[in-house]
Amino acid sequence: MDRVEIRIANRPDELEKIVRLVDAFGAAHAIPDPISNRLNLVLDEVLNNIVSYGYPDRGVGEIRIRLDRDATSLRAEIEDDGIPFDWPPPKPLDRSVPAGDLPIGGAGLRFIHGLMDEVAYERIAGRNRLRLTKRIPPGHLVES
Amino acid sequence: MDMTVKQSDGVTIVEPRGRLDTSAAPQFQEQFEELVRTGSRRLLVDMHRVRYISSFGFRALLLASRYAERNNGKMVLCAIPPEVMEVVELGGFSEVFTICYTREDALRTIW
Repeated sequence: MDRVEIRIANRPDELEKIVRLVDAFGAAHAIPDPISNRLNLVLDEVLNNIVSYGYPDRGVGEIRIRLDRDATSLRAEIEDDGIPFDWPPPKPLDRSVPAGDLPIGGAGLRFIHGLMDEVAYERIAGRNRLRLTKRIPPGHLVES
Repeated sequence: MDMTVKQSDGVTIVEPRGRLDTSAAPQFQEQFEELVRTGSRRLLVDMHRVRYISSFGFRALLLASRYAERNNGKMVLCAIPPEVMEVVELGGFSEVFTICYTREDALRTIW
């Protein structure tokens, strides 16, 4: 099983399924825990953002998550039918603001862009499609 | 997430365990603020059993820290595992929180 796909509703209680999916996929493919954990963190940010802000009219939506890997990388594709959001690179931290007053917003984008090697977004036929790639370090390569 | 709390020589030691994520963050924040409301002013959060933290977890820590400060208290983090520390630095949080490598360092820093 080099590819797995799941569809979930746009509700917070659905997100636990994704954590289990990533853990199981990682274990099945000998993906190092730190890499699975990073992907889980990034998916947590992405999916919480979609669930919290993607459906401002509180409509019912569907989110599709696909995981796959080859010998050198782990990839995730997230597709949703919420409002457009293009996952821009984060702004640099404003060093002029006292540390204690820094706004918390933006941390999610820093995690997504900092922990993944590639982040690609498309808007296709009224759906957001986000592709995330994490390269597996050479010391951790596994047989396909 | 589970969380243990103990008192040691005037310091409240908080030890969350497991995932500090979207679902655990409100619980952490609520329990932390309750400690401040009931008189704790020096709060040490020992992170060595936290294996995962998301931006919602950091938000809870940040709000907890600000709540302590507004009540003339102080929060210090310590013993952050390397994989969690990577995320702390990536998010720019290493400058926001007072962080010590060990609980012993934190117990000195908090005074």
